[in-house]
Amino acid sequence: MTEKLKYLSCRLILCAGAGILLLFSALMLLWILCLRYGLGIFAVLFLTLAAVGYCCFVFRWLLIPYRETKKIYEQFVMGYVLKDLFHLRHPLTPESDRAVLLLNEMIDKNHLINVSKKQAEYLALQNQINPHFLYNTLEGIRSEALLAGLDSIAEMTEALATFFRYTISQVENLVTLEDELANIENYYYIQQFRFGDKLALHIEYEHDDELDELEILQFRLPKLTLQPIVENSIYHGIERKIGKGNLVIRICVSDERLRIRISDDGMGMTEEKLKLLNEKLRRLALDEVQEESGKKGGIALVNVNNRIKLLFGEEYGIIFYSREGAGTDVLISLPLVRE
Amino acid sequence: MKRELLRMDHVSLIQNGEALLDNLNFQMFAGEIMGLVAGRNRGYNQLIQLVCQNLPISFGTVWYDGQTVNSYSHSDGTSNRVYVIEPMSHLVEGLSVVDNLFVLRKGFKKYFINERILREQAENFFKENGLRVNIRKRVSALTPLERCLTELGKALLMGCRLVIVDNPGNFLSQFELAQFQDMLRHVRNSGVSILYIGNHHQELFRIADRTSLFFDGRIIKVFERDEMTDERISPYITDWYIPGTQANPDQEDGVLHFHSVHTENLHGLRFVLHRAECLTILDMDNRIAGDVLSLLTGTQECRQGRITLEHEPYTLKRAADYLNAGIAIIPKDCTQSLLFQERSYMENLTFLLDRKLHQSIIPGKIYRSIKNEYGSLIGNFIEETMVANLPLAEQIALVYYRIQLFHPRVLVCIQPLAKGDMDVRLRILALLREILKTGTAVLIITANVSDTLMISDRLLVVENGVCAASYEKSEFNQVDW
Repeated sequence: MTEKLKYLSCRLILCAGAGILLLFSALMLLWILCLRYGLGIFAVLFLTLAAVGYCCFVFRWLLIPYRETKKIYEQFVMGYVLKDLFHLRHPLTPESDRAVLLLNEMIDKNHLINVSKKQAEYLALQNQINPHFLYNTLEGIRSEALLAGLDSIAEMTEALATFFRYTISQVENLVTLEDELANIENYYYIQQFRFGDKLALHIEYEHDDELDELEILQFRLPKLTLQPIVENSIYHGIERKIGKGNLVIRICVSDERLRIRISDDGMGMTEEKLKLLNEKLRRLALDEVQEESGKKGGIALVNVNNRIKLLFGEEYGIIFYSREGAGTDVLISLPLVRE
Repeated sequence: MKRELLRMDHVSLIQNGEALLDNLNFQMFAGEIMGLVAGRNRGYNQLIQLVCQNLPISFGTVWYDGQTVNSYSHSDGTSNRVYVIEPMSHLVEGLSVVDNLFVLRKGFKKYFINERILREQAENFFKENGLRVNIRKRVSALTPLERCLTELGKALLMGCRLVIVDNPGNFLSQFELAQFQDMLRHVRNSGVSILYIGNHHQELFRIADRTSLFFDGRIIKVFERDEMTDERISPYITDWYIPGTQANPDQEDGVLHFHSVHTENLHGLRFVLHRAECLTILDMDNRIAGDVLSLLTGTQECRQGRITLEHEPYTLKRAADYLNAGIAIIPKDCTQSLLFQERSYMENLTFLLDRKLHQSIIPGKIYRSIKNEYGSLIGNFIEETMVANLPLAEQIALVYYRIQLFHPRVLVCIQPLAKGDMDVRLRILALLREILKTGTAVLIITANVSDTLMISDRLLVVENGVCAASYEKSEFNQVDW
């Protein structure tokens, strides 16, 4: 109890409860006096109604907004929301509101650090490898292969060089869908050397009279959003499957969103695993960007999801639909960004 | 460009510690028909309720028509402009269609009503929207299709952007359903969205632009137009499929014969039902079930033609004691009409046994033997002292177990799959399969064949009370739905 009473909210509730109790005690006394000594019944009735009205007013004007604010704090603590905390409809005090906004600015800087964390990794990789050395080597292999008449090795080397160039060299936040899909096609080309006919990629567009395929391709999204998901689908879905595997990327544009669904008809995942993953993707866990960046399998997805949420807001991100033996659908939801 | 009408993001609803909606993501565009099929019904009513009204949720956000209407932090309880067309009518029976459309509408403040003007307005509105309803009729005189069309008209008049249609296949005949679906397509083209809820994915796949599969408070898959095939959905429903070996129908000898039977709605119905055979009658007009039942239960006599049961005339006298004659009937709402909700599981299970044993008191040895035998199938539910406490699936299973125990010659089921989610339906099919294996002939009368074909050996299509087409099992793929 003493522990609870250190919070001002508890003290306020206690005071308000005591005040209302006092008010009704006084009213009861008035009623007794009124009935025993015949004081003005209408005056007491009016006071009683006023007290009830006051309680309703307190409930609607104070208690409901307080509960709303409390709920937002609770959800923030659980890691489900971030933005809502900075747009409280009913802040506790002007000072707390300002403090929260100040915190927002400070966190924003941290956000940028976190978002660029992944890019920093690429930069580090870039520094370690020296891309020109890598590209020159790959070009050398390609030339040798061409001279020896080994076209397939030459093509594979070219694809690998293009893939590295896109992944390592161009460090920018948003790229066009066209670039992302080109990278996916290139990645698929490399993977085909390993999987052959076992892996098939289809890209489908849902376009209408207002928006054609070329316009859809100009929408922007965070760089390397698709590749980790495609990689995940191949390694966790199709690779373990017996027989052919299909990978379908379906792009749909609505008035507010760009939706990209990456589906595979691979192994799928268990209900528990799916639940856990979606629960993870619902949260905006800032610490996971750093903590798990070194681990493999599914972590890239959490990173991509975090980046989307940090860049565009919590209403965007990734959702998984899956069933064991049936395959997996990954739905990426993004805002429409043209520039 | 598609316009987003409804979006539910990460919606969770926890009541009494149970997650009825669990991280649910659902979205609909303007001017589309979205099918919704429930694999398991938990949270399904709450989902519909949440689409209609902004009630408190535990987590997530709901957007409707471009606005945030509900979130975990703030739910104002307001209603969204959504209309639900369901088996229960939302019209006032005693009033005319016009009164239902205008007078009972929110915001109608006139004290003096000029019925002629209202009727003209209604006629024009219905004509513009292609709704063919005689608006001079009283609501009580409307056919089920006219009632649905009137409600659809009312929804459009109220400016609803979303109409929820809840299992129309259960209360409309095949003809009516086809007309109603055409109307829904027409409305869809004018920009109104339809959430079409159905028990049979085949029915949804025929009309929907996309179909969502709902399971235990979550959407587990959204099927796009080109993905709406039996092949694509099968991995999602195989877990619920209870396999069983097919019975071998005895094609030599018929158990039940209908020889050109005539009644008010039957105009020369003729068929033969064999032992261990499952015959499905697709009632295109949704009218013959009542007549067949009254003929079999002895409340009506054939005007022409005759019925024979095991080659003996099925007279009124035999029909009056149809259970002893060997005919069992499972009506549409079997849990309501066949179960004693306040009684125990075992009391309900052994209810017909006295007739079979010709003893008013069941010997303890037999009672214990039944309990042991069914206990292994049912589990702890067999100990339930009040059937009303059982989940719907168990209540329905109890009805079928009772029939299995009674072992009739003929079992007549009226729309057996009309109620319940996919889980329940597949269980019913498995139970019917078990009944067939014991040699009982099963006659299914339905207005919607989709799932029943999984166990049927033959299909008869009945139009205007007479058999219009007949299909053998090998020809089911030729049936044009």
